[in-house]
Amino acid sequence: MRRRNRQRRKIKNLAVTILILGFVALITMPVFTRRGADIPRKITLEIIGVGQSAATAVISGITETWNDYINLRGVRDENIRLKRALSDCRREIVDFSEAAALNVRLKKLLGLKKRVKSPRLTARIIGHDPSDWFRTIIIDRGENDGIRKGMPVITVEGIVGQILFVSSDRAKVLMGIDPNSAVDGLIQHCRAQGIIRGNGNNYRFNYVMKNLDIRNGDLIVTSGLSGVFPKGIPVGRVTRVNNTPRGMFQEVKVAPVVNFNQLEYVMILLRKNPLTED
Amino acid sequence: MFSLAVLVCGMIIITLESTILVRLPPWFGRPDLLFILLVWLATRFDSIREIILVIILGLILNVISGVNPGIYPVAYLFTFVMIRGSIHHLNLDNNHQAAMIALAYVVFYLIVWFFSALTPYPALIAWHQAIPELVALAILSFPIMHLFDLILKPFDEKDLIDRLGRRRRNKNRYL
Repeated sequence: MRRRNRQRRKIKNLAVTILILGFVALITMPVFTRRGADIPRKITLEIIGVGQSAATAVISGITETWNDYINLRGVRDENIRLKRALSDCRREIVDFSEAAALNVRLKKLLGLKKRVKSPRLTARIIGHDPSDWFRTIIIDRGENDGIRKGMPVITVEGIVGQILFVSSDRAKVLMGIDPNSAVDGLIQHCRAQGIIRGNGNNYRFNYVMKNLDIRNGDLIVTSGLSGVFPKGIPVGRVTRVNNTPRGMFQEVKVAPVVNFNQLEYVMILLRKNPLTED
Repeated sequence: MFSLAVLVCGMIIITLESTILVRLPPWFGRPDLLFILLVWLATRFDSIREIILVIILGLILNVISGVNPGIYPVAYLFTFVMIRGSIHHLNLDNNHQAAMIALAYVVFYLIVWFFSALTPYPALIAWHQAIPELVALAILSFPIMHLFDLILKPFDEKDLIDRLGRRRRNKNRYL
């Protein structure tokens, strides 16, 4: 009897301690995210980042060696195909340079301002989010390279995401397909504006009025309204439009232009004042 | 020393999970090795030290993964308590280990889903992806927990004292 009571008391004490620790953890967690108080997080990211860089280098070495071997096969056929493609591209370049020259002349006539490009920095992806619940990546550039929280991350194809957390030499990027990500966008052909939200593996284009004509295959680009992403960066293509009888808005599903599963390198737009909340 | 060994082991696991295991196809089942470490701590030890270790491991994981701070420490803490409670009340042995880990992972999934629903940062809960993970966890739990026994248990001070004492007694039992 006494033994059982002692055991019960022990369980009760343990439960109380766990509850207290849980609440302390819950209460103190936001403190860790404040500026100046996130030094332990930065140190942890740096330590794990070193391991991630090493592991990624080993994996890349193995993959590249294997790819080199695979690529050796069929090089001749590829060479012929590429030569043909090159001649086609040269022809197109001539056409495009004509169009570009015409564009410059017309812009001068209209008196449009020249768009100032933000400096870009290339970074290598060294780690991915190990869980299925979030879509974040770790890159090998940090505060020492001029990266700040909120800076936009892109590739040549389109948008990737936004800088979420920075340590001295590493940074965590929130990908556009994460449900916590939202970007202002517009449909290129009809200029319909809306908010692009992540949906895990693709996007949803929200708040698009029903009277607007949206078709499958339409390209969605950033509108530049939020001030985070510059205007005109491709986001995705419309894959499904659903006009429900109720409500004001259409349901638009969008496939990303960027293949998030095969990302290796990204570009960070080094904007001086990334418009984000801290 | 034991705490440090567990933390280093946890960091190595997080590095492996975020670089190598993420490259495995989803149907293959990406086993959450850190979760197996959590279960190992919950099944082998019973003290405040392990609870603090679990919270720290959650905080470390939160640096690499996720958007909302605090989701992993809280989820790990509740899962640890659940496992400890079930061991205490259900008298589970090693034969039920795989089933217990799979069940604990489902509970862990539910806790993450519940807490992320409370915060403004939603998490992607994909049950169809959880099934191959559950199978991989159940299969790998036994060898990996043995590996933890081999690598980490020697660092435990209590275990060390026990072994030293036993060895001394075995040499000459009349002393």
